[in-house]
Amino acid sequence: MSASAAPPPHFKYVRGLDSFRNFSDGELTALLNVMKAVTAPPGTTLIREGDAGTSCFLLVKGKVALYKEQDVKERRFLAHVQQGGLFGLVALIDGMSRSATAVAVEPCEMLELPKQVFDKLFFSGHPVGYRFQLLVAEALAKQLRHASVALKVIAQSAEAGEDLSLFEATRSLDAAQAALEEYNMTAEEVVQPVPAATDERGKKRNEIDLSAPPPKR
Amino acid sequence: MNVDFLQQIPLFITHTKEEANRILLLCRQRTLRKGESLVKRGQRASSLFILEAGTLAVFDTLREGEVTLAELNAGAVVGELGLLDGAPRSANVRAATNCVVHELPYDALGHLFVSLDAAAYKLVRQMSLALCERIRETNGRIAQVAEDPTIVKPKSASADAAAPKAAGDWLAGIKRLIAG
Repeated sequence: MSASAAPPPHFKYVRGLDSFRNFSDGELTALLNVMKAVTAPPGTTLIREGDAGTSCFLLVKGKVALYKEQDVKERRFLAHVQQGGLFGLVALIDGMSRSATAVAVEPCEMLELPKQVFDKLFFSGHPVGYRFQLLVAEALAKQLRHASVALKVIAQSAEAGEDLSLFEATRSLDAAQAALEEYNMTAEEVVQPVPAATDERGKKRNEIDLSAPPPKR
Repeated sequence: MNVDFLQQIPLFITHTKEEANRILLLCRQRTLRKGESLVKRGQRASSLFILEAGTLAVFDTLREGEVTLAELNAGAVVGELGLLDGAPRSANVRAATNCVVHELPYDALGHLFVSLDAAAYKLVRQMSLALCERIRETNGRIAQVAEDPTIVKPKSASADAAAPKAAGDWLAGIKRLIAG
């Protein structure tokens, strides 16, 4: 990169993301130069479950919903990808078909990384490849923690006898995700065990109160 | 624990003998007596553990009491997620029988990361692969519960007398869901 070259699109935004902290300015510029800026209006299907994985995305602006569509009677909500999140990684790593459908729920701006470049970085023995591999593993770890919390939340709702409408599920999953992100809480703090004393039939017991202050750590 | 044993574990299956040896050098052997605790939920995570011999029990404490979520046997690895996200331990693990475990401190692995040692990054790539499998499984279960809440809902919630059995059904459901 020459000194006078303009930084690639979204450089400033990505530079500010904690997940890219290990990349030097030069490495980040090189990475962003091989990513394609994409925009999508709400409702756009970005990834379809069952398809082959051809790229992954960094969400720069907006919000994306992930759904499970196969082996279910109707589309089931799984999670939201928030600004700054990576998605579309799983199929690129395990080589199987797309694990979920991703739909833009707000006007979205993304940076798309083609599979060929992803593979080069992910299997590289070069320092920038190593940094990329750590970034990917951290993103997956975060995704798994969220999914585990989500599973606990809806399992507990089901146990409490609530009929789990998609709306309720979405709300509690979002609450769990937001709590995790905002307060860096653990699954166990988000999903509090239900105290026996409040075990009153028919009473909703598992709602998460986000207005409550986060527990002290 | 020898190199051959380590190389058979999925996380280290791509390591060469030399790379596996570098990992081995960082491990500290520990023996656990039956009933002894290995990790407690909420604790700060600072190592992963490789189980060489014996059985470990992963358990959770619920309203109904203690539930064993999973039993782990030789070759199992515990606590690798904390290396990546720094979150506290998410479950309790204790020895169900006398055990031999090998503790691999995150700090020691951190040195391998900093020195750009291939052994550390092969581990990261294999962890990513394992995480993908777990993400697929967990998402499948989320969809499954959303589809059919009776998987975890007690079948009979009408009479208090039925509660113990219903709770048992529910525990079985939760166990299947969470532990797989």
